[in-house]
Amino acid sequence: METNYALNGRVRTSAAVSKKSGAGKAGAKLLPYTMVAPSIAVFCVFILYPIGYMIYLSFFHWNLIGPKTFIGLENYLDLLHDADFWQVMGNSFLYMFLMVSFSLMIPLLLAFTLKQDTRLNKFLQGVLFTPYIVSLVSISYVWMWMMDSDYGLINYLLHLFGMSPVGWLSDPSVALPSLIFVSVWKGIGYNTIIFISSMETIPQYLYEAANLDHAKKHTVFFRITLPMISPTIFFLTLMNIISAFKVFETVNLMTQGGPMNSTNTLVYDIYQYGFQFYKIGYASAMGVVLMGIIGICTVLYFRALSRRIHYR
Amino acid sequence: MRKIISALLCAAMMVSAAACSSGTADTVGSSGQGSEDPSGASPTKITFWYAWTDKIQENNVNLAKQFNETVGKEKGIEVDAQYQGSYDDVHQKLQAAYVSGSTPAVSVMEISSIKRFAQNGVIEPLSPYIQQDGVDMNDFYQGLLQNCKVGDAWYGLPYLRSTPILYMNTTLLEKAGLDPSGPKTWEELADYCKTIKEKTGAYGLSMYSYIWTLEAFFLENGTSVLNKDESATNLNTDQGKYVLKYFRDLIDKGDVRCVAGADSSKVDADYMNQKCAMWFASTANLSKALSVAKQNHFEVNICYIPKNVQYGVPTGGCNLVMTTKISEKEKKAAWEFIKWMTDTEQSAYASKYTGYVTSRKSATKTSTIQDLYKTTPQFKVALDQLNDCSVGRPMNPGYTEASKELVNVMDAVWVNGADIDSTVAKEETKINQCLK
Repeated sequence: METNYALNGRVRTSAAVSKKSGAGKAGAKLLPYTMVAPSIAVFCVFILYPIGYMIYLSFFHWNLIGPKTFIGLENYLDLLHDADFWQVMGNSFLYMFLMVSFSLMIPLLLAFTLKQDTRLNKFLQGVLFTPYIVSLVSISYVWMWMMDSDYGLINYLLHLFGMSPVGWLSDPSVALPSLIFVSVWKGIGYNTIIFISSMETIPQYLYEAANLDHAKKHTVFFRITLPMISPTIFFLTLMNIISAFKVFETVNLMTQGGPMNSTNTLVYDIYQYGFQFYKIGYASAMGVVLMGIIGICTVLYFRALSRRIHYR
Repeated sequence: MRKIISALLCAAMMVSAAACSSGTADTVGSSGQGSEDPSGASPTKITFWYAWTDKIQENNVNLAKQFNETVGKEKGIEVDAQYQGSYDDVHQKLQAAYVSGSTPAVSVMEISSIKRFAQNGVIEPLSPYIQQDGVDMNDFYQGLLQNCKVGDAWYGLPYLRSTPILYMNTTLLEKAGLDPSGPKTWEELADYCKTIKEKTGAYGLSMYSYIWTLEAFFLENGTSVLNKDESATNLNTDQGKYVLKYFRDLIDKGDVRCVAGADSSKVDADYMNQKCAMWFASTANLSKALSVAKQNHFEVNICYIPKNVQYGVPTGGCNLVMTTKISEKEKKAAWEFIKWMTDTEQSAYASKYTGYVTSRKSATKTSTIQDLYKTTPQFKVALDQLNDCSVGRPMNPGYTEASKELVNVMDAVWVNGADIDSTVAKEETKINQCLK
């Protein structure tokens, strides 16, 4: 979203600059600030202030209704020594890594095969995109039924092939991959469409030139397609990392963090501590950690990759 | 940076709640509107928050309406019943409303949360009102009252209450040649499960990692999940570990099936499809179980949860409470409503309508309950268990978090075959930490 804000800023500034040079009024200097004031106000009230308040709360012991007690860094120290928290961190990172990998690689390959403008491809794109427009709640329930260990469709099919049933959501070692699968499945269509539209903007002459040189298909993919859509890959990676860390609905509906904490992720844990156990300070400390992680990921990612991206 | 919104999902909500508090703490709140009229010509309007939909909702709405038409009309009180979601939702909203100063005058409250709200001054002690009007507290079942008291003061009156109980598909029991009155002891329970599995192929018992039944098992084994002053768990004691071991053995033999806490709906599916002969559920599920059984052509009976050392079940459900941040006039109105709602006739009405147990002994003498006994004799078993051996639930504010750990223990030992000793030793520290 940072990119969006930056972009908006730039657009607005350039508009204002042209206006200023045209009209040449001193009052026009204030105009851009007046124009962005509402969005800045919203940003401050709903984002900056809550961030500040969350950091403040993370130094307190508070149950939402009683008095706040200042306890310094105790919440953070408790976090460090909380084995459950480290399990939750592990789950979150595993979830992020697998979800981002799959929800980029599969759509990339799909986009490459489906980008030709044929009727079948249009239809397949539509099919792939459908899960994205269905609410996550409905999707969670549908998959809960399909993944049910006794009455589910998947285990029924396994049974037909003589395989033993799997506790898709009840086996601690399988539950997290099951949730990842659902998220990847839901996001594939969106990512594919973005990749396709990005691939369609690649100038045709590059492919024609490659054709003349008898370039092999994978060379074309790695030397032309991939570099040309790198800004899109970059954008989607970042977006997927963020949404992976934010995962909540599927966890809340499908497993409630169980069995045995195996699908408990950061945001769900924050929710639990904040609004089920009423340990607001502890939840805030976790929120600060999550904010830090996402911040670090973003900075690292921009530094490491932004130079390699081919912007046109 | 919208990404940060995610991190702050919670914080933002807290802030909005907290931010309101500074601004509107002085106002009486939404329930105060309309009560300002000094002439007394217009009625005192109070709000009543309740949880759950369906029969429970209808019961709450009907009772509020009856109140408005009778006592309310006479004393100038008008109750507005508002649905708020689950118990957790009610609690969350009540906290937010308290901070912003707009609490309802009366609310339902899940029994184990009473202490936390009382300690933080959200709910009003009812003792003065009880004394003033001479409400006979001995008429309530003793097991229901423990969770109404914090220290020496009453903070709530029992409303829609229940206990867990053992349900049996007697058609299957008879098929297995067993006495349909049910097992009395853990030994008999094990025999029942074994015989049922052998003779019918169905599971003897289907259960899930459920904190409420775990509390019952501990009681039946002569102990309790938490120690007397609720400062530590009795999980890592011989009696505690025996509970885990007893059911683990039955599960390992294949006579009993236990699913994870998140899979609780499977138990329903099992009993509906007659894949199990016995299951634990709330007494409030009786009407539903009976109608399911009728549709699927089998008979259902209930009996006390079998004992190992002694009988004992925790109670559950909700009490009615009054909030603190309302005017004196509203408090009086709220008390009239609470008193009326928990009185004999209404208790009988609610019990019949919802399937919860009546909270008053005198209600059993009403024609409503006597008729119910005739049509559904099982209701009497539920009330007898309540009368004979029910106790309250732990009220330590950290118990919600501790419960989650206890469910993890059950999931580990009963569902995933983890070693009892090491699991219990590891979790004991965590649970005790939660209770501090």
